[in-house]
Amino acid sequence: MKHIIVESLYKIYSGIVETVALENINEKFEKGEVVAIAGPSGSGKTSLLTCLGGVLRPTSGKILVNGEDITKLSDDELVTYRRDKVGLIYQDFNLINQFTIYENVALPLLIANKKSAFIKERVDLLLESLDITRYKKTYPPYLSGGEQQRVAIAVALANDPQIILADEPTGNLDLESRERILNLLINKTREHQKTLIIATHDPFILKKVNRIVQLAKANGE
Amino acid sequence: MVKIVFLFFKRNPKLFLKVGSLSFFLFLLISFYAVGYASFEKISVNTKIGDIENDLEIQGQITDSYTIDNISLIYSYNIKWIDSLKDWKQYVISDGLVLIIKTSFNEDSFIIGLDLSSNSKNTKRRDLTNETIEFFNNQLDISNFTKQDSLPFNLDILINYNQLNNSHFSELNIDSNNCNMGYFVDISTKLISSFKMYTKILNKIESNFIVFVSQNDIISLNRLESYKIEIEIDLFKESFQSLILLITFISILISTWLIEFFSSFYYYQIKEALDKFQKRGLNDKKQNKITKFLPIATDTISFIILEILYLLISIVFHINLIYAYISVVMGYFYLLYKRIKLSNLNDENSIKMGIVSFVKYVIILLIFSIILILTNNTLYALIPPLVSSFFSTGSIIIQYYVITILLSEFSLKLKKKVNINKLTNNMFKLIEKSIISGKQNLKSWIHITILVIWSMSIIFTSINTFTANYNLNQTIEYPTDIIIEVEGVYLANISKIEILPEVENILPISHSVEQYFFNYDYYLMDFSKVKIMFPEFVKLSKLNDIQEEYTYIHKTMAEELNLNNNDLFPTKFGKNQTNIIVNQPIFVTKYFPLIKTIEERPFVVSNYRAEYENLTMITKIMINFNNSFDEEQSLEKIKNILKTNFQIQKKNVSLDYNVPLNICKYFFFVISLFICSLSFIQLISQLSPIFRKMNLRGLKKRHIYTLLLRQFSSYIITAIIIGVISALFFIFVQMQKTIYHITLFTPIKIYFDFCLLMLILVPLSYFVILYIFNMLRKD
Repeated sequence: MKHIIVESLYKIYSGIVETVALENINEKFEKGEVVAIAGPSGSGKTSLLTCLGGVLRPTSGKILVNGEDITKLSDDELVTYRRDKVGLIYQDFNLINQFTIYENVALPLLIANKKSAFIKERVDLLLESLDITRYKKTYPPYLSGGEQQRVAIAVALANDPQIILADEPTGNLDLESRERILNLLINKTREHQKTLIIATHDPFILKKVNRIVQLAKANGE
Repeated sequence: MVKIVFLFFKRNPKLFLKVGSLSFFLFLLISFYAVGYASFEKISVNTKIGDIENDLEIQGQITDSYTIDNISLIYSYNIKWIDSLKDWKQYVISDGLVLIIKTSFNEDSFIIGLDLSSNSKNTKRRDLTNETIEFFNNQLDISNFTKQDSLPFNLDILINYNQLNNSHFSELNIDSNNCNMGYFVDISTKLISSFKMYTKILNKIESNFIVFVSQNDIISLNRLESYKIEIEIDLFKESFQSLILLITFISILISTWLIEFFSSFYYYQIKEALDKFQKRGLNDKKQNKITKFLPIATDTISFIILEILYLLISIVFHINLIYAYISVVMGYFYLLYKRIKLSNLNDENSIKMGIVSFVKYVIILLIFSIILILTNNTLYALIPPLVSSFFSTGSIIIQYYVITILLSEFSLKLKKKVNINKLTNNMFKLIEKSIISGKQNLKSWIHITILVIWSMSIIFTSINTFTANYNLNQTIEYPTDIIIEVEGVYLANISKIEILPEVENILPISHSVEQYFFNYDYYLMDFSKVKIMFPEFVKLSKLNDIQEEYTYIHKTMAEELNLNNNDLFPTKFGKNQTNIIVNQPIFVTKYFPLIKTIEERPFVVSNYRAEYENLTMITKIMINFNNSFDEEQSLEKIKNILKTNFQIQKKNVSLDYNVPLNICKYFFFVISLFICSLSFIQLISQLSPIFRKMNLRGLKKRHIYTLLLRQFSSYIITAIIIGVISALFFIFVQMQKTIYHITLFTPIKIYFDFCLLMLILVPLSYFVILYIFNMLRKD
């Protein structure tokens, strides 16, 4: 059974001028698969990721995750979906500057009502695997772009989601880190039968993925 | 550059109008209380001007021997009065009340004040039978002071007695060699508004005084020339003062919040609009200059417009708007400071610069405030009274500014001491952290806290009064037939009405709402002390009978009040429920009208201050008629006794002294809700990015609302608890000084009711305002 099925997906941003971000997207993603979404700027890569992540509601079409159409979910159900099933790595990191790195990573677990001991163990493990333990008590603005990127990945992985969506996850990383983190994400995906979807231009990533979905520019963004 | 600025204004008229009108509104907000106050004055003067002799009330002195400070020690409305009373001794001689006070300048000298006036309004003078009075074995010639029967003012005697070394009062030898005699003019007026009016009144007093003293050969004309007439006007009077301060404080809070909120908003709008100019070739340097200059220009224009407006109002209506000018100037400087601070944020080292300029600003305000206080207190005698009033108000306003700013800044600094680096796995702590860690968030929260504490304290004090009156009401078991409003009733007339067979009960009600705040024991004599110091004087009462739990009344006064000689009255008020306990031995003079008719419980109404300053002491009388008589005929009889116009207010009314306080209380309550809600909106708008991110990570909206509500409730509860503690502390401290021992249960109950109401209304009003806000935004 396919993990994610996207059928006739449209996303149109309304405003003074209507902008079609996604136009009739049909795609299937399997468990354990690493897929790259490529395309020129304005082709709707981020829109697709946020639709898959339940952050954005598509204008029409279906997104079936394990057979359940997430476009039909209520707001509350969508929040639960985001909390339990999806880890989204944002291009601009989306970290909370008022919280320490530890607290940023712990927040999804706190929201999911995990026990304190578990949270501590899990956060420590994630920080260590991403080599940012030393920044545990630091606040995001004091970190470099690459370090913030790693924190963002830790936040996305905190709840051990089945679907990992990454928007340009290695854009701010140096070559060595890029390879290490990408390997980490890919290994996790394959070991635990997750689905990793990466929106990227990076040829290095494109080489490593199982499949590339090429998006064409729709009506212009 | 000027061309560009004009072009900008031309291209962006709406933005210009928005910024300008906002500044205008802020200045208006800060100064509206001053305008209101001046208008209030104006009303008073208008209604009283036709009867100027009776209604003027100016405290001052006409002497070259005494400074205003000394006089105000005795006659001031302010705290000085109470402070000075620590060293006070009061004595009653056969013809008046003697007030003796140590001067602050010389330990060896006393000022002795002889009040020769009657308890009536200022025109009538006690009928002194002799031209001398006996003052501790001294025959004092007072003929000069009794010649004139009707004066536009009371002329009392002030004696500066310098030789205290031999100092038993019974041995005082007062003559021209060791004493200076001064004159204290006590002329009643309400409030004086315009400069014109002030000068007019001043001239009138001056001429009246000179005519009087020269006609009566009190002071030779040659000597008179060396006398200066100084008049002190206390502009902040009675309960209105607290209202004014309250409004000042609220204005400052609102305007601070608005400046914080809108300054940045419009500043960025201007910047955005200027970016279009930049795209058309305006260079960065010029753009920066204009960005800084534009808001300042609009502020300045608004400032000038408002000042001109006030000037026109003051010219046309003769209203003294000096405080309005000051407030506007201060508001202008504050806004200027905020603009500059905001525009500096773009520069390098802006934060550092911002802190430095802020510290400078606070220091300047502090220094300014200290100078004003010093000027106000120590150089009081050297500057004209009007100027000193000006300083006084200025310093009060500045102090509020300083307090607000310092409190906010102190709390912000305190934030650094809090260990926010401590990692937490607790959702509530994380929410709290997100509030504490943001400077703006914290500021909003501080505003809410200060306001809640402040409002709670205000409400508490007003409840205290309310309870006193409530208890008073409870003690009156007879239904009240009528309340008569009179211009002024003398005690003797009350006694006359009282003995009418038609009248079952009579209860004079003082007009003053402050009487329940007032410390009676300062004015009622502690007889035990007199007994120790002047045994011969106390002979008038039975020495051996002096017991602390009894009220004493002077023999002469007892006769005057048609009471039995040496009558003792139990001081406890009420039967089973003791509401007001007078637990000091007191000496009731005619200055404290005493009514003993309500179930034989003595009842002291009115206050000494009102009496002494010749304000109308009793403005309302409650009368219960005996049913067997015709009410109209009874009223006729009363009218004949009162010999003055009176109005029957209404039947079966209950006592309510609290109208101004209630207005004050509810006004404050509504404003508190408004500001709290605005601050909440600001706080939530600042926190919304964090909550959006939390929502993205899977936190449901209803959980966000629950978290926020819980967090804010805990904040309000904390503030309320602080308010309760401080208010309780306040009332216990007050109780040490006051003879009113009010049961705490009722005020606390009402207080908690208010707290509960506040807890319900604040979030409710928040959502209502948020809803309206959103509706407007959609439009």
